[in-house]
Amino acid sequence: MLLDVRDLTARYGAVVALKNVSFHVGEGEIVAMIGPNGAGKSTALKAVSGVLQTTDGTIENGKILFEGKSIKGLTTNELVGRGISLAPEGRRVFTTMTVLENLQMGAYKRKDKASVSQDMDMVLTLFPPLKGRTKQKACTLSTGEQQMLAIGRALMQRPKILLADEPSLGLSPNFVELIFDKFTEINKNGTTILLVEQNASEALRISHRAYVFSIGEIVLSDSGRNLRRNPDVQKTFLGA
Amino acid sequence: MIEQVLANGLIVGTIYALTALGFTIIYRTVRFFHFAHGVVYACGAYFAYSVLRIAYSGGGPPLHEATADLRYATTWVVAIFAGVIGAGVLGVVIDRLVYKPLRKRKAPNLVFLLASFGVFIFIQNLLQLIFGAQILTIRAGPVKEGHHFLGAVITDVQILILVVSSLLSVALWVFMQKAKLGKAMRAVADDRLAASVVGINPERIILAAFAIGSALAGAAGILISLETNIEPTMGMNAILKGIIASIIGGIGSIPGAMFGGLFLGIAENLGIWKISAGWKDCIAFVILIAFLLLRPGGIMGIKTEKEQL
Amino acid sequence: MEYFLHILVITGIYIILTLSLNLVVGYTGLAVLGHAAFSCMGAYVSSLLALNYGISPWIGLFVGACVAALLGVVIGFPSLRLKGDYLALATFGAGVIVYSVAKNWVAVTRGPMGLPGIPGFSIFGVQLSGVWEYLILVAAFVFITYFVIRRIVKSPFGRILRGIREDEVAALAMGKNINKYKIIVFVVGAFFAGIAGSLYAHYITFIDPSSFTVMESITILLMVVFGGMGSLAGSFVGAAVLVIFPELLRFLGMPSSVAAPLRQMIYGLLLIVLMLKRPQGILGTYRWK
Repeated sequence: MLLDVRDLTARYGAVVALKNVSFHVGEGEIVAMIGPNGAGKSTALKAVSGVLQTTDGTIENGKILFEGKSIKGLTTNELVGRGISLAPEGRRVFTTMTVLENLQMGAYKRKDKASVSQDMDMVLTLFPPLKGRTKQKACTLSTGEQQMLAIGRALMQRPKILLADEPSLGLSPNFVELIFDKFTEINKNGTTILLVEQNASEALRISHRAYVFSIGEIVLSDSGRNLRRNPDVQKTFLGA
Repeated sequence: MIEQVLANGLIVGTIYALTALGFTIIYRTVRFFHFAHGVVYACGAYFAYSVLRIAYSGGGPPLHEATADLRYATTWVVAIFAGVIGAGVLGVVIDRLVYKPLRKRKAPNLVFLLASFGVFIFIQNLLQLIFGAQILTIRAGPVKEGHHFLGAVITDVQILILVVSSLLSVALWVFMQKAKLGKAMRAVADDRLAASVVGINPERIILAAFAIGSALAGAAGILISLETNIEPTMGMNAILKGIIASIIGGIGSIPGAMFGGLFLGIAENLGIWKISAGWKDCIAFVILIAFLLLRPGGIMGIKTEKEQL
Repeated sequence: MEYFLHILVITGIYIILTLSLNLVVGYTGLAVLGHAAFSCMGAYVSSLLALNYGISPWIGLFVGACVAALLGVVIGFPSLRLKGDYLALATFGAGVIVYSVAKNWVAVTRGPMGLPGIPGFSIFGVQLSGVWEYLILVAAFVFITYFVIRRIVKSPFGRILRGIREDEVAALAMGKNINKYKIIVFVVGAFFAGIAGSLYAHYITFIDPSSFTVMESITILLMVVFGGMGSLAGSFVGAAVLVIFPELLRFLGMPSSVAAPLRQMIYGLLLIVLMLKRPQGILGTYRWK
């Protein structure tokens, strides 16, 4: 088990957003967290990625273990050193920098220059739309392209696990399918992925396992395939 | 006559630009008006003065004669060092003691602003307490005859100010563009969360911004003291002009700060030329308010926070 | 004793200034830094009317306050668009500009030389002469100010002001014309500051620009913050403490070259400590989330 979260409770002020949730991610898996708005899935990811403490949220209880060691309370930048990369909600690319500079910033903490440029080529090959735009400022990119850039930037860290927070938000439908295909490709190349998604059908299509959140708790947990076949899931999320 | 006005404007403009640069670097990373920057500028001058005063108190030549003589170059180097580094350290101390706790508590901007005022008032009056309200100087001896250049008269000291300010500004710009720390500072200024996502520690960058920005303020304070007097209230004028220059140029933009400083220096001197000197501050603020209302993004058209909303 | 009463009169004038600024900064959450500009206006208008045209200080006071209120409109309108730091900066600038005018328009204001010999108030032809009489006069105005502002903040109008302070976007969403409210508080705040300025002028009988510097504006702001933003009782406390305390320093027998900067240093330190430890002030309840 790469990531092991147990009995996590988190709140925003007086509001409890997560009640004793437990989930885990095994090496090589794609794991998805789905559920309606406000169900707590994004909070769970933010708790793991160190973002929660920069907002008004607090982790009240629980264990967060990565490779067997606790990462609870570590800041987002400290997690980079542990091999955890984040493609944050809303993409958050460096709008004043070019695509190339964004990717270079992704390798900020790395010392091995040669393999950095290798990875740069890999990312640009993975996301062809970025290849032709390396000198353009990130603010000129479409939302879909920015999402690619955010993921590419995270990949530049050669992470052990990639966390993606609502990658489909704001994207046009063809980009959504493309991004999720890319996730599959990234995973085949050896990167473990944990993602939070509104778009349940796409998330379930590509994930090995998934957790369904509702009102701060996990109500279902199964393989992606089984969840897709689950009539309740179909009714609630897949519009059947 | 206008050539002289422009020359004077340019010279004081480069110092405004330097002050604005330091202020802007800090503003970009912390996003509030670090008003106390003005008093850091003043301390740069006072620290340098103190070193010179101590060096020459032991029965050497009187201060104003000694400063004219380049044989005392080492003392001067120490004095400048003290001023610039001292200012940098002071800026960092202010951040760690006052702003960082407020950041932890996620205080609104008004609280930061008021705290910054508090620091400014405290230190400015501490300077007055220690050094008295009288005017001090580190000016280099009797004023030498200036050089005639394109219709204006410029002294050696003024040339020195122009050259040093310009070099520092350019050096800073290059640093922000090419150096790793400079890029990290740009990243934090762009998006603090995104910066931490790539492994940058925002607090460390904020510290660097305060160190560098404050050191620049110290340098500016020393430079201006070569031309004018040192007094406890010098910081107030400096920070106001620095802020105005930053806004004219486009808050958060480094080339904007440089341009804004020059623009303000020249506009002010043109104003004094046509109207009397007492209206100098009034002119600066009228320009400020005009920009705030008509073009808040400044010359460079930076999107201010409220527009981004 | 007379000295003590004099301090009370000054305190009363500052209470009016603090209450009026509290309405704008404390209750509505607008970062206004140039409040002394309004008292400057009231003081000079009232004094010049009395000195140049022999107009009774009572009328001068009212006219001065109205002119100050007008200035409030002039400053208020453009300020509607500015937020936070920018508003603070613009109002700071307004304060500097008014001060510059007072200092440089020598033809009218006599600049740094000031206006001496300002006539005092008189009731039914009898000149007010003793400190006692001015104390009663100022106290009366303090109460008028207090009651007017209290009515405003306790009313539904006041609730909307607090809504603006908490979350302007939410207040807008409720369909209220925010700008109207902001202008009104600007005007009311300016009006009463103008009254304070006139009272000061006719009491001291001499004014010059140095009474209306930016430091003055910051001192009044400090009184609001110290007493507690959004607390009327706090304004009384803030003004009283910050007027009386420096006077106590004087009794310690320090030379003024030490006492003056020391007093300011304490103000500065007070501001820092307040922001770090108790931003809501002594009696305030306002806390950000």
